[in-house]
Amino acid sequence: MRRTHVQILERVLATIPIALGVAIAVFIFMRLMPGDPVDIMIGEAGGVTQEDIHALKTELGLDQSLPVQLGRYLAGLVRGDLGYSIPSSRPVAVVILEALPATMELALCSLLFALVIAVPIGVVSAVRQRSFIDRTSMAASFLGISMPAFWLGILGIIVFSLHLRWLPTSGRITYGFEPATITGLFTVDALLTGNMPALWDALKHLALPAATLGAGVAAVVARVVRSSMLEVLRADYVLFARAKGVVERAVTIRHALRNALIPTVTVVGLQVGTLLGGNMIVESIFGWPGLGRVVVDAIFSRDYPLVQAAVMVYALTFVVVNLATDVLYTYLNPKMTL
Amino acid sequence: MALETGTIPGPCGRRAPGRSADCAPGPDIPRKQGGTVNNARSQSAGYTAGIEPVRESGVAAGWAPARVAADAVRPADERACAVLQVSGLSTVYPTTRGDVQAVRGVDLTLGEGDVLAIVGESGCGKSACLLSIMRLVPHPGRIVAGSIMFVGRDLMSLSAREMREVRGRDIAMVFQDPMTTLNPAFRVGDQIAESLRVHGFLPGLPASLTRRSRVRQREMVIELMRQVGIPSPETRHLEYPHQFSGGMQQRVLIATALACRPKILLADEPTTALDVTIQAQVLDLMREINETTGTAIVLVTHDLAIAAEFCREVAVMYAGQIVEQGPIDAVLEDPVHPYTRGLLRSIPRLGERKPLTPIMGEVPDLAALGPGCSFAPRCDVRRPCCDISQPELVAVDGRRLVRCHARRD
Ligand SMILES: Nc1ncnc2c1ncn2[C@@H]1O[C@H](COP(=O)(O)OP(=O)(O)O)[C@@H](O)[C@H]1O
Ligand code: SF4
Ligand SMILES: [Mg+2]
Repeated sequence: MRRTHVQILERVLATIPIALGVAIAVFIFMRLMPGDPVDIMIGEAGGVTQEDIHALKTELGLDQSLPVQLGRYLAGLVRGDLGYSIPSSRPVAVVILEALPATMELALCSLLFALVIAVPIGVVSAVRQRSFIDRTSMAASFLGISMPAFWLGILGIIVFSLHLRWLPTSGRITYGFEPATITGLFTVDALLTGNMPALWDALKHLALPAATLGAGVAAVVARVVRSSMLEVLRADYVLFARAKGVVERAVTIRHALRNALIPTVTVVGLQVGTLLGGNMIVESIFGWPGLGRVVVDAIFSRDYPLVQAAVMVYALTFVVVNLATDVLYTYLNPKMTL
Repeated sequence: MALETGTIPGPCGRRAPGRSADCAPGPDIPRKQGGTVNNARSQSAGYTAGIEPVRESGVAAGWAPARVAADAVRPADERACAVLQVSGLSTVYPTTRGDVQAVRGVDLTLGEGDVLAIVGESGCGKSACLLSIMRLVPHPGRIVAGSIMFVGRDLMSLSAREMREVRGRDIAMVFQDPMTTLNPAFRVGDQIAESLRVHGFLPGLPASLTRRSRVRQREMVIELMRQVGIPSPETRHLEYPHQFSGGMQQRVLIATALACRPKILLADEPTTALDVTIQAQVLDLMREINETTGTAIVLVTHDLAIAAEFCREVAVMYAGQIVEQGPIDAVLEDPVHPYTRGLLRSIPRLGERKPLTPIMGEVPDLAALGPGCSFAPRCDVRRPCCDISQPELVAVDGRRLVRCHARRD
């Protein structure tokens, strides 16, 4: 037990060099993009003199050499100072914290949607291998893997929003329905405050983006669950459980699925990368006011501090999720220590 | 040694003569790895002494005492009342090459407290035979013919639910590789408790969470583990299978299988995956269980020496059929079927320097069997009729059954 804690601490410390690498890489990539924030602001404004531009660049520190800019940026990071968003002059930390709950809500719902769909499908497909259910769901999962998210999202909007008019086309919640803020996740807050209209409205807004974002993950997870179930169902301990007289449902779930989940956890952890990457696209399609859309806008306006900080959030999330995955893996598999 | 083995009062002489190493083995009694078995036995004697209290307080007293008492006074010929009677059992595995006929018309009778060995090369249908008795032949395999009578009930006619109640409670099974047979994700104690819970010896899930039933579960599990000779069960029941050695894992399997005191234990090569020393200990444990509880045992093995050590009756299987069956000493001293003779020739014997001669050729393809004797391609006394007609299993010298055209009548 103590050994595990020490190992977790080691892993946490190991993220420091990763974070540094990410910081430097993003810094460099942003400077490699043509144009800088001032150029883009000016291009939109017009009627600005050369002196104004120079003054602005000096104010933002963009007149300094790149190493100096990098040094300042890293020094700020160490102090926990993420700087100010260039076009809006608002603190980067505030902008990110505002957008984060929306993104977390979408990502968690997508993941939940993916697991709730994929695990049972994987199990049933394995138990009834080569049945109609198996073939249909594996064909569907093939589509799910090969269809790009933006296409799926647009298809969903056309069918469910425009034709059937069941679901809204964009946004997080209908104006005026917002529940009192506790966690910032509308569905959770609505549940906590017992605000059912808000919950229903938030879920309707969530449905399409979460399904779009979760579809790819669900497809991959269903396949992994199916194949590891197929392997586990052939194991001696499954036969032994039957020989003990254990009912078939318990054999499938307690003995087989419990072991099939071990490899699945790793795959799900890696799929969180897909969720993070896909969320920029999906948030843009559905006008979801989350971090993904903030990043996309920030990239277009060359908002260096905001992009740098947001990408750092993405990278750290990925690292943390993978650490959590490994801890869960250890918990599920008694043979392992981290 | 001889004294120890000789003085144990096995009911109706359940110990085959010549089993002990010092009991002057006859010329045909195979000795596996010469003195190794002997060594193993002397080690296991100390081991058995270590769990002696178990026998008194545990196995003999707590473990179905009524049955033990009845067993001890039972005359030998009463074994005729069979607990298991298998007749005409046939099992196939459909494959793309055709149906693999893994079991072809097997008849077996097992009396209460009997110990029967099924011997044969790997791939001759021994496992399929045991799995068929449990009605657990893995898909797509299926039983195509036969009846399996367990104490007067035909298991073939039971519903899935009724069959599940038989498994583990009336007929239990242990497998070859204990490492893969125990679920790696669960504590050893919980796996033993599951057997009890499934058959109602412990309360089911919601009720099992109460403190009282947890204490009871712990007690029962620890007692079972003690009975199979696992040291310090108080702490070890909380461990996971990978923390156990192979021999201890096999003991856990046996404890799991025996938790509900089944009438029959089907053991599919229970010692094949173990070291020779550990093999002897596990066999000793099974023998002890048989003698104290009267649990009948079908021991499947590809090793005639183990059968000789352990059983009084042996059935030799080849290509899904029983080719010779009879009392172990008769079969070992005077094998009739050419396959049995070949098996014996391929086993090292104590004090003999004769080179071993493995049986030439290979087990036939069970998906493409010809009309004649399935052993014909490898047989050194083949006759013209052997390729055309299938020999029947016939009684020979009143003591055993042989399936061969060249048998002596
Ligand atoms: N799942 C299966 N599918 C097809 N053939 C099988 C399967 N299991 C076993 N067999 C075949 O059935 C025959 C008997 O196998 P088995 O009972 O495992 O033999 P043994 O236990 O004596 O080694 C072998 O020829 C084997 O190839
Ligand atoms: S029947 Fe013929 S081929 Fe078969 S074992 Fe006997 S003698 Fe050999
Ligand atoms: Mg086998």
